[in-house]
Amino acid sequence: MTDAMVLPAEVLALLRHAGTRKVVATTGPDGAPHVAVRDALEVLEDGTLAFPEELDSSRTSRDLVHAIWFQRPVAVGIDRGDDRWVVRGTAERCLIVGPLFRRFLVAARQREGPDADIAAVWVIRPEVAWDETPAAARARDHERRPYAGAHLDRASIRREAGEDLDAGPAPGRQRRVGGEDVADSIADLDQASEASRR
Amino acid sequence: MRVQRGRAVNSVRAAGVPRHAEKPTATLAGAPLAPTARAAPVAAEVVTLRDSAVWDAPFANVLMRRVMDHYVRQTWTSPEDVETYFRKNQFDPATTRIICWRDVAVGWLSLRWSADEVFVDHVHIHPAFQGRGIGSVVLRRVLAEARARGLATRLQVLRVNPAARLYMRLGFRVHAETVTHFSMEVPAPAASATGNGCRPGTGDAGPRELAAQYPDVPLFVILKMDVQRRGLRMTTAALDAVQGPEYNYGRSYVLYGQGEAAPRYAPGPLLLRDGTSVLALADAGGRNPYTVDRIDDRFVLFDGDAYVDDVDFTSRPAYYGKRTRRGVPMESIASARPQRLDINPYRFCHFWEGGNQCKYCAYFTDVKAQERCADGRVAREVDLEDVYDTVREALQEPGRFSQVMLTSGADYRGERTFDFEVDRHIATLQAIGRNFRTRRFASQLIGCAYDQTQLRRLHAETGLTAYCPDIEVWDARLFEWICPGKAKWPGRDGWIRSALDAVDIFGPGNVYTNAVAGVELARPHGFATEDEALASHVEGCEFFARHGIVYLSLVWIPWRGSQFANQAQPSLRFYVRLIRELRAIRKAHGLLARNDDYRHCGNHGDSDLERLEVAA
Repeated sequence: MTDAMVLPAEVLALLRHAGTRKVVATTGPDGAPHVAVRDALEVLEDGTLAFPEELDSSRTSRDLVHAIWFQRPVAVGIDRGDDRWVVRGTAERCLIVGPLFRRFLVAARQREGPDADIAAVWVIRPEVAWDETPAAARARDHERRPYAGAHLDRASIRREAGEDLDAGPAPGRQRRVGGEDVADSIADLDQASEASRR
Repeated sequence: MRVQRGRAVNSVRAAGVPRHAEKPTATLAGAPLAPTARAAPVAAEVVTLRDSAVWDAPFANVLMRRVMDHYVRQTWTSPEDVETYFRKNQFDPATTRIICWRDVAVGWLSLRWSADEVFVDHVHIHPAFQGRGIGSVVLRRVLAEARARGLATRLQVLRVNPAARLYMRLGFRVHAETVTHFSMEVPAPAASATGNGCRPGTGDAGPRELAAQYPDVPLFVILKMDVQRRGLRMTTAALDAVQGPEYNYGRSYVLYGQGEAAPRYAPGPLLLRDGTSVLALADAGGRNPYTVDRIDDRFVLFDGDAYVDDVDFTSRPAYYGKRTRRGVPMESIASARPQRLDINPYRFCHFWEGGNQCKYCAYFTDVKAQERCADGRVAREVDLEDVYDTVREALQEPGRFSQVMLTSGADYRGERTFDFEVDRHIATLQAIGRNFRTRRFASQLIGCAYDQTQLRRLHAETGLTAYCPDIEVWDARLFEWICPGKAKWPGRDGWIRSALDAVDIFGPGNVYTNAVAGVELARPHGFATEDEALASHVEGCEFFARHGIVYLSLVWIPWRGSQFANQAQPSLRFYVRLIRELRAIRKAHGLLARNDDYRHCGNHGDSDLERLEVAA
């Protein structure tokens, strides 16, 4: 058994924030994908993720059994406004009794009323996490494939008729990707365009 | 060699052979079927074995004396010693099969099977049929089966008996000798290099190999069945770790195992990472058990020295250690599986009276140990208020139980057969039911074969939701042999009838029957091959499934204290093949074993497979 990866601090902060939406993505025995919102998901002290399942017969439960039995990956989507992360991992454990199971059940009853119930608590062991914010995704994409995929008519790229060649991108056309200014990238693209024209 | 068939037969018949044993001996008397001395060796297929019965004793004892007298007198000169020899070697129908040549009884074979060997106590062939190769055919079959089960074959032979040469030809070698005897053996096949506890030469394999060969069956489920099959022992460190309040199950839980009070507190059921519980606590002795160790605050399962996986134990229920209003320890009233409360309101099985208990059963073998488990407060019949108090307290723990299961020793007494038992279950269920607002509560009764009136009472007067009359052994012949009490009260047809009637009352899918899988291979009367055993289960499951009844299998454990102690178990592959077959049949009939699933029971690999089913 290996230790769970250490999740980035911003992921841990997101997971601990009450308003964060959490989605568990699985695949079934037939390969069919399934997603389910599981906002009760939380990070445990050892870095694993845990969440309750109300029904053993839910698709998520079924898929998680399939995942732990046949070593299929599981993904957790974490979303709070502009901050989005994805954690991919393995189904580590299914708890149907014990202190953690009871804690999640008590929490469910406090949240949803005394008749709330859970069938199991599933524990996911994170293996990799990445920032899924659109800007971060674009930045990664650009880093790997600098000139592929981006439509050339995008405002940050295409020069309007009569636009000053030295003016650079028009005000408001600069975008932030992953917290970094991409003006240099745009300039690179401009230079490349010029080179191709010659 | 002098042929004396007429005299031998006549002497047997003079000793009084019952009518239905006459056919083979009468045929033996008829000269046309009897071969002459030194005739061509017999074909193996005309040599068969049949079960023996007490009325075969005259034939067997006279034949043995006839065959062995000369060698015994050569070995011991004192008449007392000679008589002692024959007295000690009397025919025993429990271990003996009659050797037949074209359905003619020509000899007998006595075997004792244990965990690591088959011991050939006797093999005697009538002198008129010696030299035909009949003994060789029989012994080759014994050797083949022992090899298939990974066992050594051993025997003793008088030094003066020329049969020792035959044994040498068959591969036996002398491994010890005394003044009077040679001890000979064909060793067990070489030990497996995988250390997986399977029996080499059987085509068997360990859990990982089988998971690779049967990719639709998860390793977890195979592992669970293998842990059940081979047993579990705990290191001192692991045992130390379960003595505290988190895991300490007291001493009551071992009642499910060997009926022994453990020297230290035991944990509850083992938990695998997929949530499955495993009922395998007892150290099973010579079955190469798995080991649980404690490493870095984790419980770790080992197979020999090989790491298998991290595991856990079921946490101690909050009601353990508490007492009822009458002062009775609650854990003596109800024991806890991960999500199921088990109540046994009557701790005595009347089948044990007169030796009619099921031959694999070891429950109720140590009443004193049960008393020790409960501070001496266990009575044969549990008080209803103690039941009410215990259930009430158990339900205080959030989310701990989602089903109540009732079972007890069989009690056939009453105006109708089982009336006493039914009355007791109704009263107990009513006491439990006082704890619920709803009329029905998730519950299962593993009971005996009740008639329609009794079943209707159970349904109408209690909150019971599922009924389980366990057939245990589907094959009719083996049912009679293995479950003599059930065969008598009220008989196999009665058990089947009860399950069928219950479907009309409790509804399809709410009636269950369990089979102790593998016990149908027990020696000496069980099926000869695992394929035959498997076919029998398939037939039983198909039959019940057609009627809306869930037929489940569980792994047979030859408990100490049972009549089948020390019997060899089937291969792990047998269990893997079995659960696939049973699951497929139930699926085809739209049946799910929700009452006996991984959360509630933990005994059934085939219901574990249903975890991949999803609600529509």
